[in-house]
Amino acid sequence: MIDLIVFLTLIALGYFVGSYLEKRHYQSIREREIQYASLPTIMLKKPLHPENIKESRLVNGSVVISIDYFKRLMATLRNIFGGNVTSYESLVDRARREAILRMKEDAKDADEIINLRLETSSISKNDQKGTIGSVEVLAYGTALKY
Amino acid sequence: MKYNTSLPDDTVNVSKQSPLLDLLWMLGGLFIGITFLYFTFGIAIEYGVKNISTEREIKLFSFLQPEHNSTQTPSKELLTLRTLLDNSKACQKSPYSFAVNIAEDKSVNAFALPGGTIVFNRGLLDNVHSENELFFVLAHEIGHYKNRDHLEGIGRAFTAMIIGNMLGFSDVSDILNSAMALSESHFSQTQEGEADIYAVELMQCYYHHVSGATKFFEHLPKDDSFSLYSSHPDIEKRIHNIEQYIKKRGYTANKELRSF
Repeated sequence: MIDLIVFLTLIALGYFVGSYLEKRHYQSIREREIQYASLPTIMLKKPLHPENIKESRLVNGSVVISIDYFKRLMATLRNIFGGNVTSYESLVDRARREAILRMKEDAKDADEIINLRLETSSISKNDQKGTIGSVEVLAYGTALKY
Repeated sequence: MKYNTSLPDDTVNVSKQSPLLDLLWMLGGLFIGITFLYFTFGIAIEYGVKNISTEREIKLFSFLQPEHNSTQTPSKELLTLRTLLDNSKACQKSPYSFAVNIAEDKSVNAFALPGGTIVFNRGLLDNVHSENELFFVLAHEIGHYKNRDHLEGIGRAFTAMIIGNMLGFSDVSDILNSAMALSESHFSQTQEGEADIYAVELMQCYYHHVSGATKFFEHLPKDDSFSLYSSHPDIEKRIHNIEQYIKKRGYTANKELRSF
Protein backbone atom coordinates (compact mmCIF):
# COMPACT_ATOMS: atom_id res chain seq x y z
CA MET A 1 0.00 0.00 0.00
CA ILE A 2 2.79 2.41 0.99
CA ASP A 3 4.64 1.41 -2.18
CA LEU A 4 1.62 2.39 -4.22
CA ILE A 5 1.31 5.77 -2.51
CA VAL A 6 5.01 6.48 -3.11
CA PHE A 7 4.63 5.41 -6.73
CA LEU A 8 1.60 7.63 -7.34
CA THR A 9 3.25 10.56 -5.60
CA LEU A 10 6.32 10.20 -7.81
CA ILE A 11 4.12 10.00 -10.90
CA ALA A 12 2.19 13.14 -9.91
CA LEU A 13 5.41 14.93 -8.98
CA GLY A 14 6.98 13.88 -12.27
CA TYR A 15 3.99 15.09 -14.22
CA PHE A 16 3.38 18.46 -12.56
CA VAL A 17 6.94 19.50 -11.82
CA GLY A 18 8.22 17.97 -15.05
CA SER A 19 5.72 19.76 -17.28
CA TYR A 20 6.22 23.05 -15.42
CA LEU A 21 9.99 22.87 -15.90
CA GLU A 22 9.56 21.87 -19.52
CA LYS A 23 7.26 24.80 -20.18
CA ARG A 24 9.75 27.20 -18.61
CA HIS A 25 12.63 25.69 -20.57
CA TYR A 26 10.76 26.03 -23.87
CA GLN A 27 9.99 29.65 -23.07
CA SER A 28 13.68 30.34 -22.49
CA ILE A 29 14.65 28.43 -25.64
CA ARG A 30 12.24 30.46 -27.80
CA GLU A 31 13.45 33.75 -26.41
CA ARG A 32 17.10 32.93 -27.02
CA GLU A 33 16.39 31.53 -30.48
CA ILE A 34 15.02 34.92 -31.48
CA GLN A 35 18.05 36.57 -29.89
CA TYR A 36 20.54 34.42 -31.83
CA ALA A 37 18.57 34.17 -35.08
CA SER A 38 20.90 36.66 -36.75
CA LEU A 39 23.92 34.34 -36.47
CA PRO A 40 23.87 32.11 -39.58
CA THR A 41 24.48 28.47 -38.77
CA ILE A 42 24.91 26.00 -41.59
CA MET A 43 26.13 22.47 -42.10
CA LEU A 44 28.37 23.06 -45.10
CA LYS A 45 31.83 21.58 -44.63
CA LYS A 46 33.68 24.31 -46.47
CA PRO A 47 33.27 28.07 -46.16
CA LEU A 48 31.71 29.82 -49.15
CA HIS A 49 34.25 32.66 -49.12
CA PRO A 50 37.48 31.24 -47.68
CA GLU A 51 39.47 34.23 -48.86
CA ASN A 52 37.66 36.63 -46.48
CA ILE A 53 38.13 34.68 -43.25
CA LYS A 54 40.04 36.52 -40.57
CA GLU A 55 39.55 34.13 -37.71
CA SER A 56 38.17 30.65 -37.16
CA ARG A 57 37.72 28.45 -34.11
CA LEU A 58 35.89 25.45 -32.77
CA VAL A 59 32.74 26.20 -30.80
CA ASN A 60 30.59 23.74 -28.93
CA GLY A 61 27.62 23.51 -26.65
CA SER A 62 26.35 20.51 -24.80
CA VAL A 63 23.45 19.79 -22.49
CA VAL A 64 22.23 16.83 -20.44
CA ILE A 65 18.51 16.55 -19.79
CA SER A 66 16.96 13.93 -17.54
CA ILE A 67 13.63 12.21 -17.90
CA ASP A 68 11.15 12.42 -15.08
CA TYR A 69 9.17 9.62 -13.47
CA PHE A 70 6.08 10.31 -15.52
CA LYS A 71 7.95 10.26 -18.83
CA ARG A 72 9.59 7.00 -17.83
CA LEU A 73 6.25 5.40 -17.04
CA MET A 74 4.92 6.51 -20.41
CA ALA A 75 7.96 5.07 -22.16
CA THR A 76 7.68 1.79 -20.21
CA LEU A 77 4.07 1.47 -21.29
CA ARG A 78 5.09 2.29 -24.87
CA ASN A 79 7.59 -0.56 -24.66
CA ILE A 80 4.64 -2.90 -24.30
CA PHE A 81 2.42 -1.48 -27.03
CA GLY A 82 4.91 -0.05 -29.50
CA GLY A 83 4.45 3.23 -31.35
CA ASN A 84 5.93 6.69 -30.98
CA VAL A 85 7.48 7.40 -27.62
CA THR A 86 5.91 10.84 -27.57
CA SER A 87 6.97 11.51 -24.00
CA TYR A 88 10.62 11.48 -25.05
CA GLU A 89 10.10 13.68 -28.12
CA SER A 90 10.03 16.93 -26.18
CA LEU A 91 13.05 15.75 -24.20
CA VAL A 92 15.34 15.30 -27.21
CA ASP A 93 13.88 18.36 -28.92
CA ARG A 94 14.76 20.52 -25.94
CA ALA A 95 18.22 19.00 -25.68
CA ARG A 96 18.96 19.56 -29.37
CA ARG A 97 17.82 23.16 -29.42
CA GLU A 98 19.48 23.99 -26.11
CA ALA A 99 22.79 22.51 -27.31
CA ILE A 100 22.73 24.59 -30.50
CA LEU A 101 21.90 27.70 -28.48
CA ARG A 102 24.80 27.08 -26.12
CA MET A 103 27.09 26.60 -29.09
CA LYS A 104 25.91 29.93 -30.54
CA GLU A 105 26.51 31.52 -27.17
CA ASP A 106 30.05 30.17 -27.30
CA ALA A 107 30.47 31.82 -30.71
CA LYS A 108 29.11 35.20 -29.64
CA ASP A 109 31.26 37.47 -31.77
CA ALA A 110 31.39 35.22 -34.84
CA ASP A 111 29.76 36.12 -38.16
CA GLU A 112 28.91 32.58 -39.18
CA ILE A 113 29.07 29.00 -37.94
CA ILE A 114 29.76 26.30 -40.51
CA ASN A 115 30.00 22.54 -40.35
CA LEU A 116 27.45 22.20 -37.56
CA ARG A 117 27.38 18.66 -36.15
CA LEU A 118 25.17 17.10 -33.54
CA GLU A 119 26.14 14.15 -31.38
CA THR A 120 23.96 12.40 -28.89
CA SER A 121 24.47 9.84 -26.17
CA SER A 122 22.41 8.49 -23.34
CA ILE A 123 23.66 8.64 -19.82
CA SER A 124 22.44 6.02 -17.35
CA LYS A 125 23.82 3.44 -15.00
CA ASN A 126 24.19 0.54 -17.44
CA ASP A 127 20.85 -0.94 -18.35
CA GLN A 128 19.98 -1.50 -14.76
CA LYS A 129 16.31 -1.61 -14.02
CA GLY A 130 14.89 1.41 -12.31
CA THR A 131 17.65 3.87 -13.16
CA ILE A 132 16.79 7.27 -14.51
CA GLY A 133 18.15 7.85 -17.99
CA SER A 134 19.37 11.15 -19.34
CA VAL A 135 20.10 12.31 -22.83
CA GLU A 136 23.16 14.31 -23.75
CA VAL A 137 23.31 16.36 -26.93
CA LEU A 138 26.55 17.94 -28.08
CA ALA A 139 26.54 20.53 -30.86
CA TYR A 140 29.80 21.68 -32.38
CA GLY A 141 30.91 23.61 -35.40
CA THR A 142 33.45 26.05 -36.79
CA ALA A 143 32.87 29.70 -35.99
CA LEU A 144 34.12 32.10 -38.64
CA LYS A 145 34.88 35.79 -38.46
CA TYR A 146 35.12 37.82 -41.63
CA MET B 1 23.19 32.00 -52.05
CA LYS B 2 21.11 33.87 -49.53
CA TYR B 3 20.92 32.76 -45.90
CA ASN B 4 17.41 33.02 -44.50
CA THR B 5 17.12 33.45 -40.78
CA SER B 6 14.31 31.30 -39.51
CA LEU B 7 13.16 29.93 -36.18
CA PRO B 8 12.53 26.22 -35.62
CA ASP B 9 8.96 25.08 -36.03
CA ASP B 10 7.74 23.90 -32.63
CA THR B 11 5.07 21.64 -34.06
CA VAL B 12 7.23 19.41 -36.25
CA ASN B 13 9.31 17.34 -33.87
CA VAL B 14 7.12 17.24 -30.81
CA SER B 15 3.69 15.63 -30.91
CA LYS B 16 0.94 17.77 -29.54
CA GLN B 17 -0.90 14.78 -28.10
CA SER B 18 -2.02 15.10 -24.49
CA PRO B 19 0.21 12.88 -22.36
CA LEU B 20 -2.53 12.18 -19.82
CA LEU B 21 -4.91 10.98 -22.51
CA ASP B 22 -2.13 8.83 -23.92
CA LEU B 23 -1.49 7.38 -20.47
CA LEU B 24 -5.17 6.63 -20.02
CA TRP B 25 -5.33 4.79 -23.34
CA MET B 26 -2.27 2.71 -22.55
CA LEU B 27 -3.38 1.86 -19.01
CA GLY B 28 -6.77 0.86 -20.37
CA GLY B 29 -5.13 -1.35 -22.97
CA LEU B 30 -2.87 -2.88 -20.36
CA PHE B 31 -5.82 -3.61 -18.11
CA ILE B 32 -7.75 -5.30 -20.89
CA GLY B 33 -4.66 -7.27 -21.94
CA ILE B 34 -3.95 -8.49 -18.44
CA THR B 35 -7.57 -9.44 -17.82
CA PHE B 36 -7.57 -11.39 -21.06
CA LEU B 37 -4.31 -13.17 -20.17
CA TYR B 38 -5.51 -13.89 -16.65
CA PHE B 39 -8.63 -15.65 -17.81
CA THR B 40 -7.39 -17.45 -20.93
CA PHE B 41 -4.12 -18.67 -19.44
CA GLY B 42 -5.66 -19.22 -16.05
CA ILE B 43 -8.44 -21.40 -17.34
CA ALA B 44 -6.14 -23.27 -19.72
CA ILE B 45 -3.64 -24.06 -16.95
CA GLU B 46 -6.44 -25.01 -14.62
CA TYR B 47 -7.89 -27.43 -17.13
CA GLY B 48 -4.51 -29.11 -17.45
CA VAL B 49 -3.76 -29.15 -13.75
CA LYS B 50 -7.12 -30.50 -12.66
CA ASN B 51 -6.55 -33.60 -14.74
CA ILE B 52 -3.06 -34.51 -13.55
CA SER B 53 -2.42 -37.38 -11.16
CA THR B 54 -1.73 -36.78 -7.48
CA GLU B 55 1.88 -38.01 -7.82
CA ARG B 56 2.55 -35.55 -10.60
CA GLU B 57 0.89 -32.79 -8.66
CA ILE B 58 3.10 -33.44 -5.62
CA LYS B 59 6.20 -33.42 -7.78
CA LEU B 60 5.15 -30.30 -9.69
CA PHE B 61 4.38 -28.24 -6.60
CA SER B 62 7.19 -29.49 -4.40
CA PHE B 63 8.53 -25.92 -4.26
CA LEU B 64 5.56 -24.97 -2.10
CA GLN B 65 6.59 -27.41 0.63
CA PRO B 66 7.73 -25.63 3.78
CA GLU B 67 11.48 -25.70 4.30
CA HIS B 68 12.53 -27.57 7.37
CA ASN B 69 14.69 -25.29 9.39
CA SER B 70 16.60 -27.55 11.75
CA THR B 71 18.22 -24.76 13.73
CA GLN B 72 14.91 -23.20 14.68
CA THR B 73 12.68 -25.08 17.10
CA PRO B 74 9.15 -25.30 15.73
CA SER B 75 6.47 -23.50 17.69
CA LYS B 76 4.08 -25.29 20.02
CA GLU B 77 1.20 -24.89 17.57
CA LEU B 78 3.21 -26.28 14.68
CA LEU B 79 4.19 -29.32 16.74
CA THR B 80 0.54 -29.92 17.71
CA LEU B 81 -0.50 -29.70 14.08
CA ARG B 82 2.23 -32.11 12.99
CA THR B 83 1.26 -34.58 15.69
CA LEU B 84 -2.39 -34.38 14.70
CA LEU B 85 -1.46 -35.01 11.08
CA ASP B 86 0.80 -37.96 11.89
CA ASN B 87 -1.64 -39.60 14.30
CA SER B 88 -4.58 -39.35 11.96
CA LYS B 89 -2.70 -40.78 9.00
CA ALA B 90 -4.54 -44.08 9.10
CA CYS B 91 -7.87 -42.26 9.01
CA GLN B 92 -6.96 -39.88 6.18
CA LYS B 93 -6.66 -42.55 3.46
CA SER B 94 -5.05 -39.93 1.26
CA PRO B 95 -2.27 -40.27 -1.32
CA TYR B 96 -0.78 -36.99 -0.08
CA SER B 97 1.78 -36.79 2.67
CA PHE B 98 0.63 -33.56 4.22
CA ALA B 99 2.81 -30.84 5.64
CA VAL B 100 1.72 -27.89 7.75
CA ASN B 101 2.98 -24.37 7.89
CA ILE B 102 2.02 -21.29 9.88
CA ALA B 103 1.75 -17.92 8.18
CA GLU B 104 2.11 -14.80 10.32
CA ASP B 105 -1.12 -13.31 9.10
CA LYS B 106 -3.82 -11.85 11.29
CA SER B 107 -6.77 -12.98 9.18
CA VAL B 108 -8.69 -16.05 10.28
CA ASN B 109 -7.94 -18.42 7.45
CA ALA B 110 -6.29 -21.64 6.36
CA PHE B 111 -5.37 -22.73 2.84
CA ALA B 112 -4.82 -25.99 1.06
CA LEU B 113 -1.86 -25.42 -1.26
CA PRO B 114 -1.26 -27.78 -4.18
CA GLY B 115 1.09 -30.62 -3.35
CA GLY B 116 -0.21 -31.18 0.18
CA THR B 117 0.91 -28.16 2.20
CA ILE B 118 -1.72 -26.81 4.54
CA VAL B 119 -1.11 -23.24 5.68
CA PHE B 120 -2.66 -21.95 8.90
CA ASN B 121 -2.77 -18.24 9.54
CA ARG B 122 -1.80 -17.03 12.98
CA GLY B 123 -5.19 -15.33 13.22
CA LEU B 124 -6.93 -18.67 12.95
CA LEU B 125 -4.79 -20.32 15.61
CA ASP B 126 -5.56 -17.44 17.98
CA ASN B 127 -9.26 -18.11 17.57
CA VAL B 128 -9.11 -21.83 18.27
CA HIS B 129 -9.80 -22.92 21.85
CA SER B 130 -9.47 -26.69 21.74
CA GLU B 131 -7.57 -29.38 19.91
CA ASN B 132 -10.83 -30.76 18.53
CA GLU B 133 -11.66 -27.48 16.85
CA LEU B 134 -8.21 -27.29 15.34
CA PHE B 135 -8.55 -30.84 14.10
CA PHE B 136 -11.85 -29.95 12.47
CA VAL B 137 -10.19 -27.15 10.48
CA LEU B 138 -7.29 -29.42 9.56
CA ALA B 139 -9.69 -32.15 8.50
CA HIS B 140 -11.73 -29.64 6.53
CA GLU B 141 -8.65 -28.68 4.53
CA ILE B 142 -7.79 -32.36 4.00
CA GLY B 143 -11.34 -32.72 2.72
CA HIS B 144 -10.57 -30.15 0.05
CA TYR B 145 -7.70 -32.36 -1.12
CA LYS B 146 -10.00 -35.36 -1.14
CA ASN B 147 -12.29 -33.56 -3.57
CA ARG B 148 -9.35 -31.85 -5.31
CA ASP B 149 -10.92 -28.46 -4.65
CA HIS B 150 -7.49 -27.03 -3.89
CA LEU B 151 -6.65 -27.02 -7.59
CA GLU B 152 -9.61 -24.74 -8.23
CA GLY B 153 -8.38 -21.32 -9.24
CA ILE B 154 -4.73 -22.42 -9.14
CA GLY B 155 -4.28 -21.54 -12.81
CA ARG B 156 -5.55 -18.04 -12.22
CA ALA B 157 -3.47 -17.73 -9.07
CA PHE B 158 -0.36 -18.70 -10.99
CA THR B 159 -1.12 -16.38 -13.87
CA ALA B 160 -1.61 -13.57 -11.37
CA MET B 161 1.75 -14.48 -9.88
CA ILE B 162 3.48 -14.46 -13.26
CA ILE B 163 1.88 -11.18 -14.34
CA GLY B 164 2.74 -9.65 -10.99
CA ASN B 165 6.31 -10.75 -11.43
CA MET B 166 6.43 -9.33 -14.95
CA LEU B 167 5.17 -5.96 -13.74
CA GLY B 168 7.95 -5.85 -11.18
CA PHE B 169 6.32 -6.92 -7.94
CA SER B 170 9.15 -9.04 -6.67
CA ASP B 171 7.64 -10.63 -3.59
CA VAL B 172 6.37 -13.78 -5.25
CA SER B 173 5.30 -15.61 -2.12
CA ASP B 174 3.18 -12.64 -1.07
CA ILE B 175 1.37 -12.55 -4.38
CA LEU B 176 0.91 -16.29 -4.36
CA ASN B 177 -0.54 -16.15 -0.88
CA SER B 178 -3.05 -13.47 -1.73
CA ALA B 179 -3.87 -15.16 -5.02
CA MET B 180 -4.45 -18.42 -3.18
CA ALA B 181 -6.63 -16.66 -0.65
CA LEU B 182 -8.61 -15.28 -3.55
CA SER B 183 -9.10 -18.67 -5.14
CA GLU B 184 -9.98 -20.15 -1.77
CA SER B 185 -12.81 -17.70 -1.35
CA HIS B 186 -14.31 -18.97 -4.57
CA PHE B 187 -15.07 -22.39 -3.20
CA SER B 188 -18.72 -23.08 -3.68
CA GLN B 189 -21.16 -23.94 -0.94
CA THR B 190 -21.22 -27.53 -2.16
CA GLN B 191 -17.45 -27.79 -2.00
CA GLU B 192 -17.36 -26.36 1.51
CA GLY B 193 -20.21 -28.64 2.57
CA GLU B 194 -18.45 -31.74 1.25
CA ALA B 195 -15.24 -30.77 2.99
CA ASP B 196 -17.20 -30.27 6.22
CA ILE B 197 -18.72 -33.71 5.95
CA TYR B 198 -15.33 -35.26 5.27
CA ALA B 199 -14.02 -33.42 8.33
CA VAL B 200 -16.80 -34.87 10.50
CA GLU B 201 -15.99 -38.38 9.29
CA LEU B 202 -12.30 -37.88 9.96
CA MET B 203 -13.06 -36.61 13.46
CA GLN B 204 -15.20 -39.64 14.17
CA CYS B 205 -12.42 -41.93 12.96
CA TYR B 206 -9.74 -40.13 14.98
CA TYR B 207 -11.51 -39.28 18.25
CA HIS B 208 -14.42 -41.74 18.01
CA HIS B 209 -16.71 -38.81 18.69
CA VAL B 210 -17.35 -35.50 16.91
CA SER B 211 -17.55 -33.06 19.82
CA GLY B 212 -16.41 -29.57 18.93
CA ALA B 213 -17.05 -29.92 15.21
CA THR B 214 -19.06 -26.70 15.03
CA LYS B 215 -17.34 -24.99 17.97
CA PHE B 216 -14.81 -23.28 15.70
CA PHE B 217 -17.49 -21.29 13.90
CA GLU B 218 -18.87 -20.04 17.21
CA HIS B 219 -15.57 -18.51 18.28
CA LEU B 220 -15.10 -16.46 15.14
CA PRO B 221 -14.75 -12.73 15.64
CA LYS B 222 -17.93 -11.19 14.30
CA ASP B 223 -16.36 -7.95 13.09
CA ASP B 224 -13.45 -9.39 11.14
CA SER B 225 -14.38 -8.55 7.60
CA PHE B 226 -11.16 -10.05 6.20
CA SER B 227 -11.90 -13.46 7.55
CA LEU B 228 -13.29 -15.75 4.93
CA TYR B 229 -14.96 -18.03 7.41
CA SER B 230 -16.85 -15.42 9.37
CA SER B 231 -17.77 -13.27 6.40
CA HIS B 232 -19.45 -16.23 4.82
CA PRO B 233 -23.13 -15.36 4.69
CA ASP B 234 -24.18 -18.98 4.92
CA ILE B 235 -22.20 -19.80 8.04
CA GLU B 236 -25.39 -20.63 9.97
CA LYS B 237 -26.40 -22.94 7.19
CA ARG B 238 -23.06 -24.72 7.33
CA ILE B 239 -23.38 -25.30 11.07
CA HIS B 240 -26.91 -26.53 10.54
CA ASN B 241 -25.83 -28.96 7.81
CA ILE B 242 -23.01 -30.34 9.97
CA GLU B 243 -25.38 -30.86 12.91
CA GLN B 244 -27.92 -32.52 10.66
CA TYR B 245 -25.27 -34.87 9.31
CA ILE B 246 -24.02 -35.77 12.81
CA LYS B 247 -27.60 -36.53 13.86
CA LYS B 248 -28.20 -38.67 10.82
CA ARG B 249 -25.07 -40.74 11.40
CA GLY B 250 -25.76 -40.97 15.14
CA TYR B 251 -22.31 -39.74 16.22
CA THR B 252 -21.77 -38.57 19.79
CA ALA B 253 -21.04 -34.90 20.14
CA ASN B 254 -21.05 -34.21 23.87
CA LYS B 255 -17.67 -35.52 25.00
CA GLU B 256 -15.11 -33.31 26.68
CA LEU B 257 -12.78 -31.39 24.38
CA ARG B 258 -9.01 -31.66 24.54
CA SER B 259 -7.20 -28.51 25.45
CA PHE B 260 -4.95 -26.71 22.99
